Amino acid sequence: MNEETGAQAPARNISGFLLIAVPSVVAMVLLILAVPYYAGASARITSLYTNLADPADHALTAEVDGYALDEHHNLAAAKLDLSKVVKTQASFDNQLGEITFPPAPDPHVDLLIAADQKRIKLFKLQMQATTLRKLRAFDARDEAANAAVEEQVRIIRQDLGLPAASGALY
Amino acid sequence: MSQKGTIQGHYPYQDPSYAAGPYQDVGYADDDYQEAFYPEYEDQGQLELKTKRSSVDAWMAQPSTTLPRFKRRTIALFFLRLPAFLPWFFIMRGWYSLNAKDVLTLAEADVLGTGGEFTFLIAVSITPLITLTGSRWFAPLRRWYGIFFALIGISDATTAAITTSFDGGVFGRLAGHTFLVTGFLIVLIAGPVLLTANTPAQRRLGTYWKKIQKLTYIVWGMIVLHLALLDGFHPFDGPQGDGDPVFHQRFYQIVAISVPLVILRLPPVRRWITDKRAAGQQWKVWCTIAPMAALYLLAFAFIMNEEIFTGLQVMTLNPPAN
Repeated sequence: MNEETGAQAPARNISGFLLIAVPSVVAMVLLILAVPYYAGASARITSLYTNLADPADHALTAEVDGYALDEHHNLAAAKLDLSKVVKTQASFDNQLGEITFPPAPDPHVDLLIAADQKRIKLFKLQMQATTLRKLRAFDARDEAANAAVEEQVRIIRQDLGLPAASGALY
Repeated sequence: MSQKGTIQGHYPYQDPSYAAGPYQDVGYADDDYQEAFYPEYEDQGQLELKTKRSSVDAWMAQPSTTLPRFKRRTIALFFLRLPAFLPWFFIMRGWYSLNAKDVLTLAEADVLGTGGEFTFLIAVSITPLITLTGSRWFAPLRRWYGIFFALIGISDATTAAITTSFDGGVFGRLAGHTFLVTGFLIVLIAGPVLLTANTPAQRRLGTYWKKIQKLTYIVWGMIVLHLALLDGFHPFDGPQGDGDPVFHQRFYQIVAISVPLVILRLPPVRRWITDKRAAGQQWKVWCTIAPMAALYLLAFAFIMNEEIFTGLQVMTLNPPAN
């Protein structure tokens, strides 16, 4: 290395060093911030779940109340209520499947979706009833299907640190 | 790229004896060490000279102890080349089943798009890795992953043109949204780069070859733009995932990967690194670059996570619902 090159070297080197060091400091800050962010993942998953469950519960409450009234005197309206219930439940299941849950609740999510699909099938069968009596005859089977869903919802909510849901809600 | 006062002034490969061999090859547009021909074309006499250049290169140039017929470098490169097939391996069942369960409609872009992204990023990572380590035994991976990036991109565009659900026919499926236009342009620009990514084309095109290969930088910018338009500051698919949406955000990922790769191409940075290496202070380079390297690896891990996770969904014909 000649003298001229040697004299220029410090100035040259400091710019090279700074061009790496400054973004590295930024990267270090980002990595430090990433640690608490990563630690908050479970809270965000809980939030993703409640963001799906709350509107679904709200809609289901209205739809189930409507069905409870209509199943005694209005077959067409009762069937419409049931179809709304089916739509809400199917939409909830589709979106639930997109969330990657932690290992504890994950298998129960699959079981919940499976139980829900069974219930949806039952409701679709119920919607084919031609009289109010035949429609109401499904109620006992509906209760059993609800219980299967409720059991999985109870475990999932417990694993996510959420309070238990009331009735056939998520 | 052979300017006076740049990194090459510090690099021992500039010895004319390295460059005068009968199989001299010119490097890629982003090759800082174009005077050094590619290892595939060296003969025994040149090998002896080249073994001086890096202890790792010298070690890799020796025959393997378990498979003496092959050099260590050949074996290592064989395994390092395999991940390039991953996107096609994952998508194969979707193609073979002719889009059963809409698996290609729902997830082909996640598998082939992400596959094209990671192959491109590996290709453009090779030159900075040479700068950082001083070793070049892995230099052939640059061409390999560059070629696979273009081929995967072409297969992505073809599959998307047939199977995706955007309105407007084939044209709509290829260019019906701004992010699709940028993706389509990436494939178009990659075409000439792919066609000239071979040694006969290098020799025939002379200085024009470098200019064509420099289109790689336009492709790079277009990929960043494509992902910015696709994801913006929120993941494309909305309320889903594993509670870490920022880590899965494609635009953040490519920025975290591209920034160190661009910085390591800057002449003052390359000079600083070679000066430190020459002074026996390589550890200072590693310590300085470590946070950026960690962020780079973190982003790459999540790109590969996307590739494998969605790839397995396609392989099992269990695509995401969106």
